[in-house]
Amino acid sequence: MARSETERREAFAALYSQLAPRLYRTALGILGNPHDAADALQEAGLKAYRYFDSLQDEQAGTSWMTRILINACYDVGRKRSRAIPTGLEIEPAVSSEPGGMADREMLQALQFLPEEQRTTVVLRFFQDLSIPQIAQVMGVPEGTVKSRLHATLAKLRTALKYQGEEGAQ
Amino acid sequence: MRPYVVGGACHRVLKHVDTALSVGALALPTELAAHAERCAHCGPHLRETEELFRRLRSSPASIDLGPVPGVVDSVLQRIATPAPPQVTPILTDPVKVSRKRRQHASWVIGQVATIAAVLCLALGGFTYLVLKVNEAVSGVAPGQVVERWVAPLQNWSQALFENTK
Repeated sequence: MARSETERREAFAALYSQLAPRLYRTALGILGNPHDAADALQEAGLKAYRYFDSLQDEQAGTSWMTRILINACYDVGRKRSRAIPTGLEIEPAVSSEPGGMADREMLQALQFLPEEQRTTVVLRFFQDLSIPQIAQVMGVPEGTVKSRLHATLAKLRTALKYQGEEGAQ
Repeated sequence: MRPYVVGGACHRVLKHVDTALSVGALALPTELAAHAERCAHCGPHLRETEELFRRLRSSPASIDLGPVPGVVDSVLQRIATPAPPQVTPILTDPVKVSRKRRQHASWVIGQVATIAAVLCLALGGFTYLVLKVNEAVSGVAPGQVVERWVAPLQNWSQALFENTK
């Protein structure tokens, strides 16, 4: 049964408002700065609304929105890579609570990873998706997700170990 | 320090750590956890992995979600206002399209005319050649045909020889 425009808008608003914090965290993990993450969240929202009718199963809304957000993040990342650097760095949006500094280091370490490896780790730890869910969102076999996770976490472990050693000296 | 034994406790701990890196979750049996706690071989690997997972899991919670309500409001406002009428792109202007099509048609006609002209010239030349050959060989013995074709060349070479002499 076809929905009226108002019903469609309300259904989308409910889904988007509910998922927005989670999606923002994912975008920040992938892009590493709050302005780009907000841009990606907005782009993803507008695109998702345009194609909202193509979402047949409401249960799959999270995966569907995440997929759109990842594409939006890649687009924003590409635009950012073409921008001329001004030398004014944007600080990652982390709270000033204890442990905040460590998380900033984590966000910075993530930015040195290749796009797909970073996305895999962010989906696993920031969105708490399972391996099959990550495979579905990224459109790759589960084995690929596992090998990417293994390679990425091994790299991160080494990087953070050296960071810790440097900090101790 | 005890030697590393394949299949021993250290080996099993490292296998668990390796699996944990592939799935992003660490589940170590109690006896192995107790071993790793006092082991200098596998203990550091386990602790580094646990620390990495702890930091990764705590990172999302420490993210400042300040910009989110603003973005959500802006998106919901934009979808609430009806979309403006679609502006016709300049390439779909019917006048421009027909001019473009005309240019394309005339280019095709030009190409076809050129190919037809080349074919006509080639066919005419071939027909002329065949007629000439036919005229030369009709009603004449084969030896005479050669003589008739060679005669001018013979006369010319003789004249050249005499002049040179």
